[in-house]
Amino acid sequence: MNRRVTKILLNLAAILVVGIWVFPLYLMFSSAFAPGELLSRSAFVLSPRLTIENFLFVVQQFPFIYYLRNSLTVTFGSTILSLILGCLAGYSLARFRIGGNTLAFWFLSTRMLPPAAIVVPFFMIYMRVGLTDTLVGLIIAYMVFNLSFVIWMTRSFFAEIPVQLEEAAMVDGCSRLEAFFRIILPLTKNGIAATAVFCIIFSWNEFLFALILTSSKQAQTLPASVNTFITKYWTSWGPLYAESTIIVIPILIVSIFLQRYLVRGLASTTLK
Amino acid sequence: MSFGDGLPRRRIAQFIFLALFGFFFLLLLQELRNNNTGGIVTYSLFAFLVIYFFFLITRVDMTDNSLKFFLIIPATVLLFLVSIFPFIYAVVASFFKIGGANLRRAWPFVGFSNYVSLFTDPLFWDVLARTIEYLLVAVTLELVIGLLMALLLNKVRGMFSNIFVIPMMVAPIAVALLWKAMLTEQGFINAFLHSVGLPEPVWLSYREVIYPFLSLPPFYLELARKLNMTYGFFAILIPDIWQWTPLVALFILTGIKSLPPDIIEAAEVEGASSRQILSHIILPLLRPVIGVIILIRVIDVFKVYEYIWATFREGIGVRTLNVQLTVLLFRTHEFGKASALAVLTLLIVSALTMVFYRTVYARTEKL
Repeated sequence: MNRRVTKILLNLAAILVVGIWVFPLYLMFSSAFAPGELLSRSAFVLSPRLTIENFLFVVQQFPFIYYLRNSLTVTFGSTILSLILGCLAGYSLARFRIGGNTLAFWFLSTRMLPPAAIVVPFFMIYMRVGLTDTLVGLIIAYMVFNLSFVIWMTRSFFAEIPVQLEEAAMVDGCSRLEAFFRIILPLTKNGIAATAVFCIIFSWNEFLFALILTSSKQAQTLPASVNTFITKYWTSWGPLYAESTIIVIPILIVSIFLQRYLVRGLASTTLK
Repeated sequence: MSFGDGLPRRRIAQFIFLALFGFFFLLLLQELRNNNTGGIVTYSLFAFLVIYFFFLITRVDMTDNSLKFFLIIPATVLLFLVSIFPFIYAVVASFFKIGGANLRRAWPFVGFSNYVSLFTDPLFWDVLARTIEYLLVAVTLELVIGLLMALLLNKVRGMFSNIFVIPMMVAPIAVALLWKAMLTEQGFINAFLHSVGLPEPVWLSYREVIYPFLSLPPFYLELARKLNMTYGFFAILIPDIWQWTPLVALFILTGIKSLPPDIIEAAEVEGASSRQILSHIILPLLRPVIGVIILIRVIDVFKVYEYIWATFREGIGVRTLNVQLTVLLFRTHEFGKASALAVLTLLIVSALTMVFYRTVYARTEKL
């Protein structure tokens, strides 16, 4: 009896904690769908009346399509590029004695650098060569984090596959690379997909590089464009909430579907 | 089917690759004539990838020894270009006087004066103090709350812990704006405090939090002022805690789950209370896990930018190293000084990553 009461109490406490963590997001969504006149009085609305006027405002009054295009290009461009180069390098690190642990750790350590410090030389170099406000400039800048992450993750995935599998394929007449493409890659595709999702989430959410290295709708991404809605004296909450919702929703959907991988990924990102 | 009967398959692949390469090369030439750097970089990247895969696929007879370098070199070169090269560039630039006007021209050499002006500027020490304060308070709170959350989540179903993945996936800028909205004077937090009958502080201000210090001797009040214990400081802490405590909790939870269950059972059989089990068995066994997560969080907190930017822009009262860097870059255009500060920050973080390497990585690799 006493045990059951504790159990119920613990569950209630867990629900409360989860509530505290989920409530701000709920507030964001409900305010994003709230009518504008309510938002002029208060910075949040738990409104029973839903409208999409904020979203319409964002999409129509604002070069939203450009920002969306830039965000998508940069996200997928940098993810694909880092997957291609990262898988090959990860395979090389996993199978051959090359550079030892030091090289592998160097790959990881670039991910730990604070973007605000890295962006200073980036900004100067880009200004000199004329890469500011270009999409390819942003894609290359995101390599600092994505490429190192992909190398690090794929290295551990490939190392888990027994070498004998490849050797058997090579006895059967495959070259080493064919063995890699035909046997190792299909076996590790789940892990690689999870890695890709992490890269996508990172590039989609990235803010500082986008803020500093881009300046116009030519290359600015969605997160950096929220700048427009906040001035020093006035914040238009409605469009801001709508814009945040647009940024958050795709990632939320992805993370709900891929939860299992993400929990594993988050745990292994850092430790392994 | 007859496709490729006359020609060997490899010939067709070679032809396609060469045609693609030629296509990108032509585009590259055009961009070179237009002097458009973005286009030049894009098309040389494409052309390189085509040529690279051409060699990768056609040269099947490559030995392992050359293959390993062939596979790793593109990634290494690219990572070198985006991490080591900028670092060296910043080190060099930190010895020159660079402003907005002469960024693209010759830079006058000024020796160590950027560093000297950095260290003699009281603002730098303030900024450093704010950063360390933020680091200490954020990591401590996250650790304490995360540990409690992990202990709670350990007792309930796994469904709850899955929900906690969500906050980490949300864009930090969206989190920052959301909490800014919650903490404004018309925001939810104050409305909630009002309805409960508590005082409503002005969160987004540099006013000191003095309630807990009023009853203490004036010395502590002075200390609180010195340490910048303002509402604004807590306003930029809250989003970080909201977003990253779940990571700490999930990490510790994995640690708890991987503890050998027989030890805990044995202690239960011996008649230890659950508090004794916690303080004498679980916590000591979790020490390495907690050490790792502290290091991870310390390295991550050095990246915090969005929360401060969204709430205060370059607000002088809550300026951390990252904010100061962007101020030097964007507002005052002192690129030389910004480089010096960037070099210092990178050195601090590199030292931390070295600690990480020595304590965590080297140990797990040996196992």
